[in-house]
Amino acid sequence: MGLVSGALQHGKNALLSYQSALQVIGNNVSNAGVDGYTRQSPVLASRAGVPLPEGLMPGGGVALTALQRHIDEALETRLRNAIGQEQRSLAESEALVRVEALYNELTDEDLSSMLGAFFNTFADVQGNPLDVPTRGIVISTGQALASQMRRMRTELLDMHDQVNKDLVGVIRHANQLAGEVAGLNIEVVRAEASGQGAASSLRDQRDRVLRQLAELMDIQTAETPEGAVNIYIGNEPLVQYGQSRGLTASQEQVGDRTVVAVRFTDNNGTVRINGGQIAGLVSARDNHMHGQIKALDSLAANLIRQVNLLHSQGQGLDGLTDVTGAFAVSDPAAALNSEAAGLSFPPANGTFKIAVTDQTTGETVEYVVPVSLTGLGADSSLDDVVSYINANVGNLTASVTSENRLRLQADGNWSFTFSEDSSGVLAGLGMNAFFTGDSAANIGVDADLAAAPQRLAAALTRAPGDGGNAGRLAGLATAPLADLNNMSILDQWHSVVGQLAVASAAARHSGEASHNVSQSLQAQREAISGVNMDEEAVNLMRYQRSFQAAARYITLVDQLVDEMLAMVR
Amino acid sequence: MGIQPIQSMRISTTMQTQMLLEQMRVNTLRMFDDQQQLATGRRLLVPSQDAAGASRALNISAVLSHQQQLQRNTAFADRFAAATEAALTGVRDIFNEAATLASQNVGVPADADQRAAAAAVVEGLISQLVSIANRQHEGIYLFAGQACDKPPFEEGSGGVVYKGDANPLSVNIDDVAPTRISLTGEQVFGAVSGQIKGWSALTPRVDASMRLADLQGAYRQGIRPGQVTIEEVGGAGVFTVDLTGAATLGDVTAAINAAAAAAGATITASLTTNGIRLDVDPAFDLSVSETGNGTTASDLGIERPAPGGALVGKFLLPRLTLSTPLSWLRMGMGIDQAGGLRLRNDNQTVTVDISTAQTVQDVINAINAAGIGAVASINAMNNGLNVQCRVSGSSLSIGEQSGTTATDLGIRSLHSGRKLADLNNGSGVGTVTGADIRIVARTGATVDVDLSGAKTVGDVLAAINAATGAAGVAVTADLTSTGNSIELVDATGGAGWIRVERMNFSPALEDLGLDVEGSPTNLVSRDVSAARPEGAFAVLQDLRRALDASDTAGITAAGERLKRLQQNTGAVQGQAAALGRLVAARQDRLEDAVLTSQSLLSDIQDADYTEVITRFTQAQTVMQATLMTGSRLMQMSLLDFLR
Repeated sequence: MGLVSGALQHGKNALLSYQSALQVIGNNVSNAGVDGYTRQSPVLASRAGVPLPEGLMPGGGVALTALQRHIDEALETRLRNAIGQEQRSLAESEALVRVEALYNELTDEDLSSMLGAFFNTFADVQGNPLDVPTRGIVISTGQALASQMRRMRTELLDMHDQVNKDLVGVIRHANQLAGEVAGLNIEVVRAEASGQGAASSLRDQRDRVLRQLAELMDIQTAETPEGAVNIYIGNEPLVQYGQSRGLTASQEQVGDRTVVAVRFTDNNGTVRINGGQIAGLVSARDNHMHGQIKALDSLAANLIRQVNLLHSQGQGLDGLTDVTGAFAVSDPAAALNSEAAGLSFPPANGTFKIAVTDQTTGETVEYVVPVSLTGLGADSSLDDVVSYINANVGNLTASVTSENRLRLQADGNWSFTFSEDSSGVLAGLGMNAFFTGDSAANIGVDADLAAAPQRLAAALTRAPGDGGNAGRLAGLATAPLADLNNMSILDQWHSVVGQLAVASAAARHSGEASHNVSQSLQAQREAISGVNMDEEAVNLMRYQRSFQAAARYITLVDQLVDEMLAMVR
Repeated sequence: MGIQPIQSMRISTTMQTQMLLEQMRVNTLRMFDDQQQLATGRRLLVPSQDAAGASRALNISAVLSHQQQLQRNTAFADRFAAATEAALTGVRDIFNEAATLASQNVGVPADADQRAAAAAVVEGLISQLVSIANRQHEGIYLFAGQACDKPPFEEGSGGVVYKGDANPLSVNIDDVAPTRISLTGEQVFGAVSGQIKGWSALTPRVDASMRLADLQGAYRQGIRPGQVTIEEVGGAGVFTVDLTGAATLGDVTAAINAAAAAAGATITASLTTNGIRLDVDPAFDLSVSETGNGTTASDLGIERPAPGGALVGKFLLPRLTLSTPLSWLRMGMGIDQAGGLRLRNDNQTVTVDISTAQTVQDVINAINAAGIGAVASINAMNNGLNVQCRVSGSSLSIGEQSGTTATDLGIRSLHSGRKLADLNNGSGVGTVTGADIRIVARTGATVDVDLSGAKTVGDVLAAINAATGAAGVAVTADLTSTGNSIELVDATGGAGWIRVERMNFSPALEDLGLDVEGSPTNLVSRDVSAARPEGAFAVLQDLRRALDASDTAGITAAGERLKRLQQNTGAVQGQAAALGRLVAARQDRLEDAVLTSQSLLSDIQDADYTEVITRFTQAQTVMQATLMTGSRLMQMSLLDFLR
C-alpha cells in the first residue's frame, strides 16, 4: 500500500461514509413531520487499516457500519395500552354525553320538570275539582309526559342501534388492520433476512398499524426473533406471523334486543375485548343505553302502576257506564296473580267496592267484591270476579271480552264507580285507568279518559267537590313508596339522572386521565424516537464539515501525487 | 382539564408542535366553557359537570315546584275565603234587616197592614238569602259542601230544601292535612240542624267476608295486618302465621288453619258473633303472641295465653258500612223488615217499605227516596243511623208502620228513651209543682199524675202506669205500634170516654200532645216528637208568617231566634276570617320558602359572573401567551444559519 492507493482510499471511504450519514440526516429531516417516525442515526466507525512501513497501524479510515433506530419497544407497548384506555373512555364518554343531551336535565323541558308538572296538575284539580278544563290539563300534561318518555326511549333505542352500526365499522377496520400487520410481518422478515439490517420504514409502518389497532381493542404483542410481531387478545392469538385469524362483526340476539358482537372469523370463537374503542362502544351500548332504557321502562312501569292504583279507586264527575280493562289476562280461568294470568301488575289478596248509581234518582248501592288470592284453596280468577259481580251486583253486567279483558256494563240509566281497592286488581286489569301500557315503549293516557276529562277520578267520596283522590295523586310525586325502597317516583328518576351524571363524569375524568398518561408516554416516545430539527441541523453541519475535510484531504493527496509525478520530468 | 407538565430529556420538533396544539386545545376548551357559562348564566349545563350538585339541584327544583304549587293552592284558598267573607257580610245584613223589621213591628205603632207590608219585605229577604246561599265563586257553589256543582238551596215544597253536602271543600296548602276552605250550608244557615240521631247501636256481627278495614279492632286501632306467633304448648310448638296479605276475616281464619295444619298442630280458628275463636286439642295449651314488634294479634283480640283449650278473642267492633247486610245488624239479630217506617213531614205522611232491602244502603236509599226531605246516613261513630231533615220550615218525625222497624234501627222519633226536653222542637215538656195531668177513665175514676220527676218519655209512661196501678184503675199507657204517639188504653169497662185533663195550669197536657179526643177506650196523643231545622230560612219564614198573621208573640219569638242566628253568623264570620288569616300567614311563609329554595338553587346552578369573567380573562391571557411563545418557538431554527 502506498500513498496513492492507501491515502486516496481513506479519503474515498470518508467521502462515501459522510455522504451516507448526510442522507440519513436528510431522511430524518424530511420525515420530521411524519407521525410515528422513528429517527435513525448513522453509526460511523473507523476501519482497521494496513500497517504503515513504520510498522504502525493508524487505521483504514471511516465506515458507516450501521443505522441506529432510536426506539424503546417497552414504551411502545405502554403507549398502545394507554391509547386503548383513552379510546375506551372517550367512546364511553361520548355516548354518555349524547344520553345526557337527550335527557336535557337541569332545564325546564326535562323529564323531571314534566313529572313535577304532571303531579302538580293533580294538585290544581284537588283545589278546583269542578273545573273540567283543569282536568283537561291533567290529561294533556299526562299525554305530553307519556310521549316524552316514549320519545326518549325511541331515541335511546336509536342510539343503541347506532352504536351497533358503529361497531360493525370499527370491527371491520380492526380486521383490516390485523391483516395489514400480518402482511407487514412477512415483508419485515423477508427484508431483514436478506441481511439489510432492520427494515426501519417497514417497522415504523407496522408500529403505526399496531397503534391504530390498539385504539380499537386491547392487544398484546410479542416479537419473534425473525422480526415478526404476533398479536394476542387476552390469551387468544389474533395474528401469528403472516396469518390473521380475522375478526367478524356478528349480529346476535340477547334477550329482546339485537347486539353486534366480535368473533374470530376462522372458528367463530368469542373475542373478549376489554379495552379500546370497541370495549367503550360495547360498554356504552350495554351499560348506558340499554341500562337507561331499562331505567326508563322501570320508571314508566312504576308511574303507570302507582297512578293507576290510586286513579282506579277514585271517582270522576260522571259515573262509568261501560268500561273495558286496558290490560288483558292470558288465561281468564287462572288465578289473577299467577304467571298463567300474565298481568304486568299482578293484584294481591283484597277487596274492592263497586257503587252502582241510578242516574235519575241518584240512589247508590255499594257492593264489596272479594279478590281472594291467599294461596289457600280457591284463588280468584278473572272468571271468578266476573261471576261474582254478575251474581251479586245489581244493574251491572260483567263479561270477559274476546281479548280476555274485563268489561263492565251498567244497565240503561245506571252508572257505576269504584272505590277502596285493597287488592290492586282494578289497576292490574286497567279498569278506570289513567295510563295504559307497561313500559316507556307503550305508555299512554287511557283513550276513554282522554276523550272525557270529567271521568278523571279526583274524588274519593263520589262528591263532585271532593278532590281527595287528586290530592293523593298529587302527593305521589313525593310520597315514599314501599315498592321503590321508600323512594318516591321523582326520587327514582332523580337517582337515574344522578347515576348517569356520575357515570358520565367518571368516564370523562377517566378519559382525561388516560389522555394525560398517553400524552406523557407520547412525550417520552418523542424524546427517544422523535426528530429535532436543530439537532439534525447540527449533525448536518458536522457531517458536512467532515465531508469537506475528506474532500480537502483527497485534494491534498492529489497535490502530493502531482508533486511526485513532477519529480519524474 | 389541565395541561400536564411533561418531563423530558429531549424535545423533538413534533413534540413541540403537539404540545402547542394540546395547550391551544385545552385553553380554547376552557374559554368555550366560560363563554357558555357567561352566555347562559348557568354554572351547570349538564348534570355530569357536578353530579352531586346536580342531584341537589334536582331535589331543590322538585321542592320549589311543589312550593309554587302550594302557592297556587293558597292563592285559590285566599280568593275563596274572600268570596265567602263577602257572602257572609250579605247574610249578616239580611239578618240585621230582618231583626229590625221584627222589632219595628212588635210594638203598638205597627198595625196589621204595616205588618203585612213587612211580611212582603221578609219574603224578599228570603229570596235574597237564597240567592246569597247559592252564590258561586269560580263556578263553585260556596255553601254546597262537596256537592258544589249544583245550587245547594232550592225554594219549594213548603220551605227551602238543602241539597248540599255536609263535607266542606278542602285544599292542600301546607302538606299536613287538607285545609277546609268552605263553610257548608249547615254551618252558615243551619240548614240541616233538625236531625234524628240514631239512639241504638246497630253494630254488626262479624262474618268471614267482612273486610279487616271495616273492623275497629279490639283496641280501636283498626287491624294492622302483620305476623302472629301461635304456640301449641305441649304439641306442635311454635309456628308463625303471616297475615300480611289478609283482606277479610275469612282470610285470617283460613291462614291460621293452614299454618296450623302445616305445623302439624291441632289448632283451629273460627268466628264467633263478635270475634275470632281458636280451639285446640284439650290435651294441649294454646298461646298467641305478637311476632316481633307487631300489633296484629292484639288488634285481632287474640293476644294472650289460653290454658286448656279455647281462646275466645275480644270484640272486634265492626263498623256499620253501606254494604253491611241487614241480617248482620245488632250482633246478628237483624231488624224487623216487614213492619216498615212511617215518615211524617208536617202534614205529609209517607210509608217506607224496606221488606226487600238487603243492606244498610238499601234502607238509606229507601228513606232518601221518600221525597220529604229526609236524608239518612251512617253516623260518625259508624254504629248507627242518623236521619236529617233538609227542608227548612218543616219538621220530620219517624215512626213505626206496623212492626218494630224504626225502633230496631234506632231512628224512631218517639221512644221510651227520648228526652222530654227534646220534644216539641226542643221546647221540651213543661211541668208544675204537684200533679200535671188527670186521667179520667171510662168509669169516671180519676188518677192524678205528677210528671215533675220525669226526664224521658219512658218516665212519663212509667209515671202514668204507676199512678193508675196504685189507684187500681185499669188504664195503661204505652207507645202506639204505629206512628209516634203515646196511647192510653182503658180497660175499666165504663160507659164514658177516656180523657186527660190539665191540672194546676200545667202545660204538660199540650206538650205531651194528650189534648186530643180519642175513641171511648183509646186515647192516642198528637205527635210532638218531630225534628225541625232551626235554620235561617225557617226563622225568616216563621217571621213572615207571624207578620202576615199579625201575631206579635210569633214576631217576638222569631226576633229572639234571629238574634241567635246573628250570633251564629258572627261566629261563622269569625271562622272565615280565621281561615283568611291562616291562608295569608301561609302565603307569607310560602313566599319565604320559595325565595330560600330559589337562592339555594341559584347557588348550585347559576354562574358567578365575577368569578367566570375573571377566569375568562385569565384564560385569554394564557391563550395569548401560548400563541405568542408558540409562534416564536416555531420560527426559531438553526437551519436559518446554514449556508
